[in-house]
Amino acid sequence: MKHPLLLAVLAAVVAGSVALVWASRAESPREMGATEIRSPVAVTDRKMSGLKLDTETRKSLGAFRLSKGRKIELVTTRAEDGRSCLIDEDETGASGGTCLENGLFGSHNVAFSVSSQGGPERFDELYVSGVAAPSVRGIALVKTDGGVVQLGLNAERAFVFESLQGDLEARVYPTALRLYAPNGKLVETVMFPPAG
Amino acid sequence: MRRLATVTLIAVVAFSAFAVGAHADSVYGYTAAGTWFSPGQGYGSAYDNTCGRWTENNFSKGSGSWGLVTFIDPGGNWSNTRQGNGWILSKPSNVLSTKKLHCKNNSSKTYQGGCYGFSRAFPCA
Repeated sequence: MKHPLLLAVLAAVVAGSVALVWASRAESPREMGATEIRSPVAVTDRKMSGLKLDTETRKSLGAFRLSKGRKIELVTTRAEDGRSCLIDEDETGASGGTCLENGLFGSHNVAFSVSSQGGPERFDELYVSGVAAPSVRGIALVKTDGGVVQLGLNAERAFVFESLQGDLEARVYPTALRLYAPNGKLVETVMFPPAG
Repeated sequence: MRRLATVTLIAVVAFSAFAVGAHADSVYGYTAAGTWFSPGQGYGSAYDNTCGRWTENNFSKGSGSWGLVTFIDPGGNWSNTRQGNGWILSKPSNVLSTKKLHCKNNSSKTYQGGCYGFSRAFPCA
């Protein structure tokens, strides 16, 4: 029985080694071609550490349905380097968001990001997703044509604003968030570049 | 004989799964850390291929710095674009599509940051 077991272990080692070789074939930075396009700095093929999210701190802020039927879920989580993250995820596995130092509200009374599909000349979809600080009771979104839209906050103070197709065709984009206290007083206006 | 076959099968499957599972996505910088980004300036990776796919795009920068990350297909079309302050990240809807990574300072301020891509190996001819 000694030899058959040895054979089994040997077979496992060989199979694992083959798997490792296969898995590492395309890892070569040269094959992936991680090179810059317009950088004046000569940096290529540099292996670095990325941001790692701590899934144990994940908390859902609610799900939102976009106009084309796609459902996204907003979550907060912490990165292993201590940053606070606001991420949205959809059913296809796509996700994205922002991770901020000093907490989600260290710089502003709202944490948010802008997501889009298509472009850069014309967008097929564009939405702003975010969460307001506890001191905020109302948010108004300002568009590049001067239009103002009052946003609804859910129980977790999360929100999603999706641009209408007409606005996207006219290249009218979100460009600021006005934050209001419970007494209706303007707390802060957060400007950001129009998506176009 | 049956016992030997079972032991062999379990050992092969277990070790192969460990070997592949232990091989997580790899991270590459397509700019240096601390690269200066002037307004409108962007950087990009090369396109991925059937042997290795970009699975995530990251832009590391300060909480007061606005920028974007996106995926660009060979036709120049953008997808899964994410804009925001701080460290921004995006994962694509379709990992297996051909694409390259792009990060850009689309604000009016100059700042420092670094752009990173995650890649995953796939079996290919």
